Amino acid sequence: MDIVIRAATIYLVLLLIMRLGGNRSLAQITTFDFVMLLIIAEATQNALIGDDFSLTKAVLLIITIVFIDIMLSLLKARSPRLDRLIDGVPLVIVEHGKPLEDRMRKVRVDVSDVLTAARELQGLERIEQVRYAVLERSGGISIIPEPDDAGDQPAAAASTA
Amino acid sequence: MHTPSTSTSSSNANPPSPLSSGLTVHEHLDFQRRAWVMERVAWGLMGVLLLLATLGVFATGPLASATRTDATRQLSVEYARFVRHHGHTEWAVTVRDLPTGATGIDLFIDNDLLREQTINQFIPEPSSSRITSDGVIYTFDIDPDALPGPRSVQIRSTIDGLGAMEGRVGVLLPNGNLTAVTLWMFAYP
Repeated sequence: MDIVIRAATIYLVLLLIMRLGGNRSLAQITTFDFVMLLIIAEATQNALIGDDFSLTKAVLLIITIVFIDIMLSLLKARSPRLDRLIDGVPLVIVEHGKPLEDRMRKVRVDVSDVLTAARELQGLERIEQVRYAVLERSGGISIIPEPDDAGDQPAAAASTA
Repeated sequence: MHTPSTSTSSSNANPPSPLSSGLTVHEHLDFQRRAWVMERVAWGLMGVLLLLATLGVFATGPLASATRTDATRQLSVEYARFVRHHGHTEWAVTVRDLPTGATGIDLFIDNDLLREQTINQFIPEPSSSRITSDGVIYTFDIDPDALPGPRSVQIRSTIDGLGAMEGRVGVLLPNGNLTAVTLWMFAYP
C-alpha cells in the first residue's frame, strides 16, 4: 500500500508544481532544462522507491503512475473544467504582428521567444509577418503567418512544443 | 470551440478581447486570469517554504535545534526542534553544579515524550531505571572522586510520532525536588 500512496502523492505534487510553475516552465528543453529534469527525476526517485529496490515495487510504482494518468485523462475528457485545471488553456500572444504585451508579461514570454518560434517554424524574419502566435497548453508557441503579398493563405500553423 | 472574438468566454466584467477574428482557439480568459493569480500565490508559497527550509525547519539551520535551560540553571537540554517521522534524533542533557561527592544523576523523562519516540541508546548507559506515575527516572552513576563540573548524558532515539509533540525532561535535585524543562518538537512526514 505504501508504494501506491507514495506514487500517487508524488504524481499529484509534481503535477501541481509543474502546473503552478506556468506553461513555460520546462516547455522548451534547453541544455539546462534537461539537467533540471534529471535533478528532479533523481530527487523524486528516492521518495518513490525508499529503501526497497525490489522488482515488485518498481512494477507497482509504474502501474500506479500510468493508471492515475489514464484515469485523469478519462476524467479530463468528461470534464472540460478539469481539463483546463490540469492542462491550462491556450493563449493568443501576438495578433496581426502586434505583441499583446500584457499577456506576454503574465506568461513570461517575450518577443524574442516569438521570433525564435517564427524563424524555426515558418522561416519568418519580422514580427509583422506573424498573424497569430499562440502559447499552447504544452508551453510551446504556435505561429500562424500573415498571408503573403500575393494573397495566398497562410501555411499550416506549427508549434515549438 | 469558438473564435477569439467570442471565445474569451469572458463574463461582461472582462475587458473586450483584443483579438479580432479568424482564429479558432479555446481561450478562456476568466480561467486564465484566475490561473495567473493562483500561480503567483503559489510562487509566494514556494518562496516561504524555501525560506523556512533555509531557517532550518526541515533540516539544519538556525531554527533546527534548541536549548532549554531550567529556572535554576542546573539543567539544560539541547535537542532537535524539527525531526522526521521515523527518523533518528539525538539530544544532550547537561546537569551543572553537581555537589561534591554526588554519586548519580536522576534523569526524568515524562510519558508524553516517551510515547512519541523510542529511545535507542543512552550514553552512558543508566545503572537503573524506575517507573513513576508520569514518566521514567533513569539513574546514571557518577564517579564521586571526579572533579566538579557539568555532566552530560546523550540520548539517541527514533521518532514515532507525527506533528507537534511536547514533553518534559528533568533531573531530581539533591533536595528531592524535580527541576524540568518542556521540550516542543515537530515531526514532519
